[in-house]
Amino acid sequence: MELTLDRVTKNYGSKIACDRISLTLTKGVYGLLGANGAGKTTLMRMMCGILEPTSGSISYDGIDVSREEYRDVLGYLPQDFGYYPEFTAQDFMMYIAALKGLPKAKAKVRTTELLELVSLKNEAKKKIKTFSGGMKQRLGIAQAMLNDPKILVLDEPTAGLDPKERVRFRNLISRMGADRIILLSTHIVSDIEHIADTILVMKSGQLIHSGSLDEIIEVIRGKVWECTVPQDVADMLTEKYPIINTRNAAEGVFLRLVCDKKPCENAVNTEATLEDLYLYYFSVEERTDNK
Amino acid sequence: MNVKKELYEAFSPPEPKRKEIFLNALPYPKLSFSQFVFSQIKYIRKRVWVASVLIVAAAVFTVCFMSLKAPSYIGLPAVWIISSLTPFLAMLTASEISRSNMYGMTELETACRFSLPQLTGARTLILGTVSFAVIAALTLLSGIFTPVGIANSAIYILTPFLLVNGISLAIFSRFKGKESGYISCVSALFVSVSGILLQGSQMKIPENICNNFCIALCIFGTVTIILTMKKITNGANYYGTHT
Repeated sequence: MELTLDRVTKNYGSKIACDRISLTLTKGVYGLLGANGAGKTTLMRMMCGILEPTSGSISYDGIDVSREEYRDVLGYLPQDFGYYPEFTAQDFMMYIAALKGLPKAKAKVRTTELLELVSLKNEAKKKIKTFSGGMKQRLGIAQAMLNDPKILVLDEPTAGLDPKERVRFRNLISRMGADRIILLSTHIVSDIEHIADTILVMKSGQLIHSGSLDEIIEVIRGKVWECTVPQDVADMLTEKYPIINTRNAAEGVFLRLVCDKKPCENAVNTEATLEDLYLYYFSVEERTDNK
Repeated sequence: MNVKKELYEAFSPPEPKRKEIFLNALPYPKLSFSQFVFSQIKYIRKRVWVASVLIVAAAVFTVCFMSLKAPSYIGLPAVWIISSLTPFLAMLTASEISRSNMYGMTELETACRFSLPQLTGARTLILGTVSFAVIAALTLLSGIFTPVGIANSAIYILTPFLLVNGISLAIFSRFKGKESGYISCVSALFVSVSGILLQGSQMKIPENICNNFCIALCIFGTVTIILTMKKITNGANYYGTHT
């Protein structure tokens, strides 16, 4: 079970959305991190055969992304997906099941199982247009799993889910990652931190990091500091260093920042998290842009 | 003593372990393309079937009514009235083929085993068969019960159908939501009414000029349909500007 991306590039005119991305994905959960416009959705769309790469190739065990056999083992949840207004949740599932080539009897069984799994069993006969954002998202997750896919691509799957649903979803993905390739993108860093075996970081169309949480965090290990300082010192530090967090405290301004050496006298070195890394990378980008 | 029976009654069989996982892991036969096409019939909205029946019924009524009450109008006027019904079928057919784009389903459908081009092909096959049956029924009705003849009837009935189908497909592929429905409806109404008005006016257009003009419109409609269908089935068109 191997999904191979070989120097995959996508250009829109002179803009490079994805730049020579090479990856080999095996069983497990992969988390894709990146700011808006980093190229995450473009990469996912190319992996699902929706967009054709400008150059490079994508294949699963030697089967090219453009082939029916590839789509047969694929499950995809787009960032935004529509639905036909007259559809109930059950109609939607049965319709997608037909597109995935499931026979009617199998489709009925899978629909019942999956609607129960995403807690929509009681809403199966209700029209989707009456659903909340979270319910639609759960339905989207259910449809992606109809064909028991070997490759599951989820673009912002936790958007619109409440904390309880997110925890359930994370547990489900962790279980499913044992025997398939799961790639998910999200802005909620803690989701990726909890479930991804491998984290991929994209910036300006390029894959800048790939590795386990520990390997990724290594970049800023020992560089995250916390301190509480007066307002004027806080302003000076904000100018100089990437700030992860800022909060007004009784004794002054609390700052969490990234710096190679101790930024001020009372700064305390703390454990780095993925969120620190994410904010560090993308605040550096903003700071560079502003300059 | 029946040992087998005694044993059966004395012990209950153990609950199967991992039965669900085992059953789910079993390979199952997937739908073939022809089965897939049949599976899509029930997703064609009722209004297409209702409109098809109503159009044929209205054509039968027109021919019967004119034969009995206004025999002098049983020629070209009857054919133009019948042909004025087809733009509405063309509009409904086009909206059905373009549904994926209208409701933002293209991305999801493209990533499925039977992807967007196959789905569009299936819908076109079903709707094309229905439209062909309706057009054939209308042509036979006009050709047999009016003096216009089958060939001329076919041209006059096909022209508004192909024209509106092409225009509507182009509209639905370009615009999303209800607006596209309204614009397409206006175009169907315009073509439908203008045919009747042109025929009812005092302008005497020679038959060969009229026929050539209709054939030109048919060719224009057909080319538009082919070009737009190519665009619809190429999912990448819809996402070309997104990152």
